[in-house]
Amino acid sequence: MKKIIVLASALLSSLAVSTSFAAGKSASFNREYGMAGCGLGSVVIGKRGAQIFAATTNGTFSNQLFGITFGTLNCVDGPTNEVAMNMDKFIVTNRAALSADVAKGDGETLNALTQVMGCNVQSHEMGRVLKANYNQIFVNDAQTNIVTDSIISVIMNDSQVASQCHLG
Amino acid sequence: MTKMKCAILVFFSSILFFSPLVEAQVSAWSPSLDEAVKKSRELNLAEQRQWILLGHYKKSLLGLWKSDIADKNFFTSPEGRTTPQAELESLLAAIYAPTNESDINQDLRCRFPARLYWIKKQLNLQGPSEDQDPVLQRCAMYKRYRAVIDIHSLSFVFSSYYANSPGSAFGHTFFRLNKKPGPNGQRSELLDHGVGYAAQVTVSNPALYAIFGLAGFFEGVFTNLPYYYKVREYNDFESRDLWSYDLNLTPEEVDMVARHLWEIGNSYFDYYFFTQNCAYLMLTVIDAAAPRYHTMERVPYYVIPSDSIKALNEEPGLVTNVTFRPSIRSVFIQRYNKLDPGNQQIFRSYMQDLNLQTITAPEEERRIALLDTALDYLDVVYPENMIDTQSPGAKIKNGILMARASIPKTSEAFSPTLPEKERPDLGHNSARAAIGGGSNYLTHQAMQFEFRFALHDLLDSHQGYPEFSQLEFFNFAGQHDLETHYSRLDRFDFFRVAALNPWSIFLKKASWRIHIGAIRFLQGACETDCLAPGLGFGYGYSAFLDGSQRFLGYAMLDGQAYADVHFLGRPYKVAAGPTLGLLIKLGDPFKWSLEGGYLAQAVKQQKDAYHFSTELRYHMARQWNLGARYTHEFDSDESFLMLYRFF
Repeated sequence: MKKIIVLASALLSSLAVSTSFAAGKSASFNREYGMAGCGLGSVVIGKRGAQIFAATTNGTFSNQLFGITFGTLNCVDGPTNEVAMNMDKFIVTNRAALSADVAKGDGETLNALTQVMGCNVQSHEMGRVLKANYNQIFVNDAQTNIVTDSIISVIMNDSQVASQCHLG
Repeated sequence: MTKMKCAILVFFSSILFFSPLVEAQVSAWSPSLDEAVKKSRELNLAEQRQWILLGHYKKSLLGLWKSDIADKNFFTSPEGRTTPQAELESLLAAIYAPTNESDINQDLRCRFPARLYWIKKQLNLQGPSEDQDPVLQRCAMYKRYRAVIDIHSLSFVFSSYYANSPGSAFGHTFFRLNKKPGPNGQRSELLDHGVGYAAQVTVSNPALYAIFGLAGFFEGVFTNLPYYYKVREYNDFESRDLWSYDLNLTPEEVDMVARHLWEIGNSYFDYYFFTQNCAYLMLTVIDAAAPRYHTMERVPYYVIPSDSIKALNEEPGLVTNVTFRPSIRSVFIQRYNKLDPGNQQIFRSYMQDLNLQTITAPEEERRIALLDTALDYLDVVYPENMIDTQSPGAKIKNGILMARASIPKTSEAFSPTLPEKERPDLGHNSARAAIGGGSNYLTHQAMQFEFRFALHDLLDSHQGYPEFSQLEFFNFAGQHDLETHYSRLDRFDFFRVAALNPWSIFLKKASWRIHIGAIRFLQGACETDCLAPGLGFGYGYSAFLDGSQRFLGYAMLDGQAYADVHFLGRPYKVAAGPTLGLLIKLGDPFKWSLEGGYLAQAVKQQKDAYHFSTELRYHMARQWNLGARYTHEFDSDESFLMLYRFF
């Protein structure tokens, strides 16, 4: 895991293009997958209509799908930074709870994100950094991948937490 | 991690003779297939409990085996579904078969690790351990599944009742596969995996839904998702409490759970609402992986989800810990109650206007408390915020979020208390029978008999049940007149549902009730009296009449429509009118209800009439109630003393 993150961070600096953070480091990953059809909506919207778990019932429920649908539903895996991809999957479903935790500075969802990112820090440490940049991260209509990239950028610009995350 | 691996290694090293050089063409296993088959017959392996459980076989009344698994891909023998021995021998041969090189993930060793593991162990077959097995090591999908779930222990989760969805009115159950803690001991329940079993619903019409569900026309399938999906769906979006029961399983048994879920996770079952449903399937998985437990024998033939958690609780030593994850509504109410009176007043104003400017408190701490409470409140009133960042509610919430983020201080962790009174595993059982004696509408001495398949009415003890909801399915009531020796069915409720939602600043919801079934009408409506099928519906409001919340009053407008050729004037009866009711908590073991109303008839030959009923219920014990009831209808009275028994 560590290796992947180190590798990812090397990749990350080469991929960084846009800079919304004037002087600091910033992250922006290519994503060759869509998040449309992912997330909680794909579970609960179907529930209101005719189909429960519409996303997993597309086509036949073929052998072995049980094992590989974990967390992705309709999200299509594609080659990208693995941490960013895992964060995308997490945030697309947990965004409401995550934004509340970040605004408060701590919480269970923030703790889970810290683990998804593989950062060896307490969640309130992470919270302190993200909270200070709340308005940059949770821009009203930001797509999930933008939120992910912003979080990574914010962390990269905090040397103390970044050193525990191996993000660069 | 270490513990589990150790257990497997110790086990294998004790029974296995290692041959490090395995030739590709010659099977690594001994003794030979023929001898293994012979031994399996001698041992009568196919009749052993765990084999039966792993194959989900059930014996019919004629003594024939048949598996609940309808998917033919689950069986390797054409007779596998009906002949446990044939399936065992066919799978046994797979151990010795050449590897499926065209698609390794379709190799039987990759698809059926649970049953193959069991066979090898029972027959004491000598060969490579799981960690060394050249085929198992190449099962990419199975290995990925195991890595992703990273299972360390198992919990059984019950999501509380949800009257807004027909399929979930009885609650729902699923597994949580708990991950191993990370190298620094870090763990997040949200990142565990939830494995659920549900019907793939293919119709939206509620009537078809019921028929298909009861008849088993839906396919039941498993889903495996991160637990945070469950938390967001149940806790947040649907505002249902989640109860977790941690199960006492050895590392070997936990491994077997993972293997078995893999085998059946890709198969479909015929889904029957009351027999082969989620609760039933979950219990079979526990017994199959840990046959020292007999949870399935502790549930009735018709299983509803709450029966399964009671079964777990009754199985000695199985449940080690109970935890509670409150719904967003419970969190909000607890948080609100913790506010000081001044803040509560400010917050009540905020709930009226949802205006950020209303949240003004000079002290930072109090402002934080108000903003945090507002965040939860907005999730309660705008659940769609969770799936749509552009919804109107999301815009309101954004203002609160930014205001909260601008105060640097971190909020203190919120730790909800476990409400013992709501523990669903401690509630009364699902089915109920009652017998009583008294005086019937002819003022004759009479016996009253009742049977209810499920589940709860407003006078039953609400331990483990929603306090002001009623959900009754297949409820029969009959009477035997001791003077005329005449017996009759008085009432049949196909279902009767009521939700009294006490009006409060937290919950501004109407109350309602609905009933479909048949009711006996007396002379005022019928030529003699008649048992007429039909339906009734009521809509209104309820509220507590006192500060200590012991008196819940309700007012409803009731309507009903019934059909019977013996009705006076017309072969139907359509009526409407107001009803007033009162539900009183007299102290813990007593509940008392009073209800009166007036029904105006659409058919003029039928008589408009008042009706009144009351019952006092005493909860003597968890499964025993006593009731005294009186009803007045069409100038006749009935009074009965009833003894209720839940089972």
